[in-house]
Amino acid sequence: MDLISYIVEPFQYGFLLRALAVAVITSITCPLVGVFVVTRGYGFMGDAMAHAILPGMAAALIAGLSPWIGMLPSALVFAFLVGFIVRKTGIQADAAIGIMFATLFALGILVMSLWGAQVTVSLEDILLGQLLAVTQSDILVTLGVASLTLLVFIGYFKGLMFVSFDPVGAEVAGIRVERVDYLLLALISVVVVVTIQAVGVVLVLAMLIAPAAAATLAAQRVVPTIGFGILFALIASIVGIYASYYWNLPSGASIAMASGLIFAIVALVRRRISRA
Amino acid sequence: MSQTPTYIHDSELEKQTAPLPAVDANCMCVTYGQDTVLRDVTFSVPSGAFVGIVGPNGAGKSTLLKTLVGIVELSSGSVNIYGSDPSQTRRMVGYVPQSDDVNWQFPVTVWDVVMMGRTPSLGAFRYESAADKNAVNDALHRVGLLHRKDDMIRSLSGGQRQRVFVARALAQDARVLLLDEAFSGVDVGSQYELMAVLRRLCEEGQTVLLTTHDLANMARQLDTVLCLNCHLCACGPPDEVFTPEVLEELYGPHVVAAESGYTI
Repeated sequence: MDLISYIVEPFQYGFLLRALAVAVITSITCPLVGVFVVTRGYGFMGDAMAHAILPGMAAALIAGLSPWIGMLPSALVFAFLVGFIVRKTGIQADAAIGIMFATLFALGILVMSLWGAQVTVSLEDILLGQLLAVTQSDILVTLGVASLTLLVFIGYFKGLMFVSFDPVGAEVAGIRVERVDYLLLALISVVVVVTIQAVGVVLVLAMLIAPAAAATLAAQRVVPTIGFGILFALIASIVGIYASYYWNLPSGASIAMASGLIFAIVALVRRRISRA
Repeated sequence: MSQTPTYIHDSELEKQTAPLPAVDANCMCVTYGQDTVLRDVTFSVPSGAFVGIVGPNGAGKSTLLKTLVGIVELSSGSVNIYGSDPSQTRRMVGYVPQSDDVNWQFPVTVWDVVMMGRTPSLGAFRYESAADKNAVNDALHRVGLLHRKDDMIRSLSGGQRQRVFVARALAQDARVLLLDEAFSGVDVGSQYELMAVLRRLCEEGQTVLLTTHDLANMARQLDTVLCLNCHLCACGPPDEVFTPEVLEELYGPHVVAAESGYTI
C-alpha cells in the first residue's frame, strides 16, 4: 500500500471523518484556554471539572436528553461553587476543588447506579470518550460552542492576559478582575465539556494541559504559545486517530498517549537546545 | 531636591494659593469589616516629590496606595489626586504591584508588559497605534531597558522587573507613580539603580510614592517619609522623623536599639 492510500484510507469511513472533525475543533479550543490553565496553575481545576460534570451528564442521559444539556450547567455550577467556598470559608482553592471534585463525581456515580440501569451509555464510555461514535449533530454543537468560545476569547484577550499576569495592576487599570476570572472559568468549563466528547473525562487533561504545557516550553509570548499549543494538539489528534484505526486501539487513549509523547519530545528538544 | 511636601498644618490661605498637590489626604479612614486599617490619615504630597511610606506589616501601607488608585474605598475622610477623586484619575496614577502579586510564569515579554499600560483591555486584534508603540519605546528608554524589550519578563532580575513596571506606568502617561514594596526581592546594586531611575523621574516632574521596609538604606535617600502604623506617626525628612520615639511607635523597642544604636 502506498503512502497516499495509507493516509487517505481511514477517511472513506464517515465515522472517522466525523471523529477527525471533532478532534480538530477541540485541538483548536483546548490550547486557547489551556495556555491560561497551565500558566495560572489551574490544571487540577480542569481535571476536577471534567469529573464534576458526571451528575449533570447522568441526569440528562436518564431523562433521555442529550448529555450536553446536563454537562455544561454541571461544569458551571462546579466552577462557581469552588469560587464561593473559597471566598466564604477562606480555605485554599485546591482543597475546595478537591471537595467539589469528589462530592460531585460521587453524586454522579450514585445517580448512575440508582437510576442508570436503562441508560445505554456506560460509565466507561463517559470516562474514556466515544470519539468514533460522534454524530453529525454532535459536530454541529461542538462547532457552535467552539466558535462562541473563540469569539469571547478574542474579545477579552487582552483583559485575560492582563489579569492572568498581574491581577492587582489589572484592577488598578480599571479591569473588573473578578468578572474576567469568572469568564475564564466559564470558558474552561465550556471547553472541558466539548473536549469530554472527544477524549472522555479522564483524558481531558491530555488535550487541555499537555499541548499547552509543551507550547510554553517552545514559545515566549502568549499568541505564539497558543499557536504552538494548537499545532501540538492537532498532531496528537491526527496521530492518535491513525493509531486507533491501524492498530485498533481506543481513540481517546491513543490521542492522550500521542499528546504525552509530544510533550516529552518538546521537553527533551528544549533541554538539548538550552544546553547547547 | 528643594521641594518639600506641604502639610495641613499650613494655613488655609497658603493652601488656596499653592498649586494643586499631587496627593492630598484628609482624615482618611479605611475599615475592613470590624478592622480599622487606616485611621485619620492626613498628609499632602506636592507635585514632583519623592516620598516613602514605612511601617510594620499590616500598618496599612498597601491599603493607602490602593486608596490612591481608587480600588479601596474610604470609610470617611477624603483623598484627592491633583484635586480630583481617585476614581476620576486612574490614567494619571501608575501602580507597580508587589512582586508576589505578579504571575512571573506567564509568557510575556518586556514589550508586552509595557504595552499593557497603553492598551489594558482591548480585544486581541485591536490595532496598536504608532503613538502606542512610540510611548512604549520612550518609556523603556527612560528606565534604561530598551535593549531588553524582546526578552521574557521572567528572565530579568528583580530590579529590572521593577523598572519594567515603572515603564508601564510611564507609557500610561501617569504623573503619580506608586510602588508597593519597591525594593523587596531586589539585590542591593539594583536597588540603587532603581532609586536613581526614580529620582531622575521625580526631577522630570513625576511624583513618586513607594512603600519599603528598608529603613537603613533606601528610606534614608527619600525626600520625605510617612511613618504609618494605622495612623500617621510622623512625616518629614528621614533624618528628622526616624527618632527613637517614632521607631518605637512603629516597630517596638527592639528595632530602636538596632536602628539607631541606642540601648534601652
